[in-house]
Amino acid sequence: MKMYHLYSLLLLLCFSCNPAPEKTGTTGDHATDHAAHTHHESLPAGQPSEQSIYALSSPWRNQTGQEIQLQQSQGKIHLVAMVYASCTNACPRIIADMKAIEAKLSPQALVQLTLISIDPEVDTPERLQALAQKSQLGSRWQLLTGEPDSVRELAIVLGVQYKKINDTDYAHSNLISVLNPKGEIVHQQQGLGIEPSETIKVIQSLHSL
Amino acid sequence: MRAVFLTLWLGVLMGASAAAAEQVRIPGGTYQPFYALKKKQPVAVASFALDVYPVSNQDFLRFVSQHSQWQRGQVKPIFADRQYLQHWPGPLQIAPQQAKQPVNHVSWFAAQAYCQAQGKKLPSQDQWEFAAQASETKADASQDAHFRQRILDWYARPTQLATVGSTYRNIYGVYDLHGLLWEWVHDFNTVMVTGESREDSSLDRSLFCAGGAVDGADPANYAAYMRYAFRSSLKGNYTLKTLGFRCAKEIKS
Repeated sequence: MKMYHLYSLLLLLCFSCNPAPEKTGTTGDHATDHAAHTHHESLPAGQPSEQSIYALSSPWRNQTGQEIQLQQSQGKIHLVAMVYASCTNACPRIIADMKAIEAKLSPQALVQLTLISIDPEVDTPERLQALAQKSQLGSRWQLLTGEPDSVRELAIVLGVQYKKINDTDYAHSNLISVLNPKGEIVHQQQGLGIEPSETIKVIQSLHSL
Repeated sequence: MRAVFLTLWLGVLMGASAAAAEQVRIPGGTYQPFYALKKKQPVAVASFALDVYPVSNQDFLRFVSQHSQWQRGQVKPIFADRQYLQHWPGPLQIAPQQAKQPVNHVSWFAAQAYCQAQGKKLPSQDQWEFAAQASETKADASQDAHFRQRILDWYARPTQLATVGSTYRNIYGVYDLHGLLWEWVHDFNTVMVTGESREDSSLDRSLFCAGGAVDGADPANYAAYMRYAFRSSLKGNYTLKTLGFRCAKEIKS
């Protein structure tokens, strides 16, 4: 029963940071009731569920050139953000925010931190490796690049918006998503330099489940 | 009644309508997107092929009958919400009058999977907008007050789905880009409109890196504003009565 309450709380947290979109004055019926449709099955931890982003099967390549599936992070708490290596403004701050979250977690915690490039044609594994070194990212981090269509698909699943604005730069959402061990999005931290206590609380409650 | 559905279904499987895959070449050019990187900086669009008609229920039924993971009841909720294909009498049944109507209640993921199954993809927002600014007689009718007003009049009407090909044929030979239903584009999530205002606050700068670089270019084009705002309200698994799609294909130069 206690577990159930905790789960309800998580659901509330998830909805409160993820409001349904506004009506936009178009014809016909609309999408405002969609958040209420989100449907979480109670499955044992670590099993893929109906809401799992691990249903995406696109292959990725990590900073060492190794082929990776997102599903390999199943069973871990997974923090995901989308950035690009030549970004000088927001991305270092997203990475810093993720490092701040990581620093608050126990070194033993089963946590995966993933950065996915929105600029896959430029961001080779070598460039991502250089970013990892420059940013001093530890062994729990992976930096992934893939096909442009896979990047678009993942961004749509995560609710990340991005647009190329000139030869080197992108406008993009600053969003850190927390996935539970099943791969469901349970929390999203939006913005830069956000005080991470709420995100950390969510991660810690996932640990105690 | 069941026999009718079954007959229709078999008919669909055997005698695929040639119209389904029909595409025309849209010659490339430049256009002024509503949300531009810099004001009055046109965007180049390369030549591409675009479906003449929106995808119909009949077309989509053929697809799901061959790809069971996209049938209603089979599809994962992360890829399509509960309204997915809810207007069909059954997961593999359409009512006779639905056959030639454009498919609606489809998610971005389902639409993209349909196009990929044909070796195509959803048009990009630039491709769609470029093709859709053409009227019957002009490749660029974006400044044509009559054309704009006709689109706005359609936006103001309640939805009543007519059959594909029943609205207007533009100068390229493409039907129904306005007047039937809204259409998914591949990169619908590039639009960064977070507020209702058409002024400065339509972009929430704190949430986006360089978000302020993207600005509304033509305040008079309210129809375009509505399309961009509508797209920004979508998520990939949403399925709406008012939203369908058609496919595009790159042309190798």
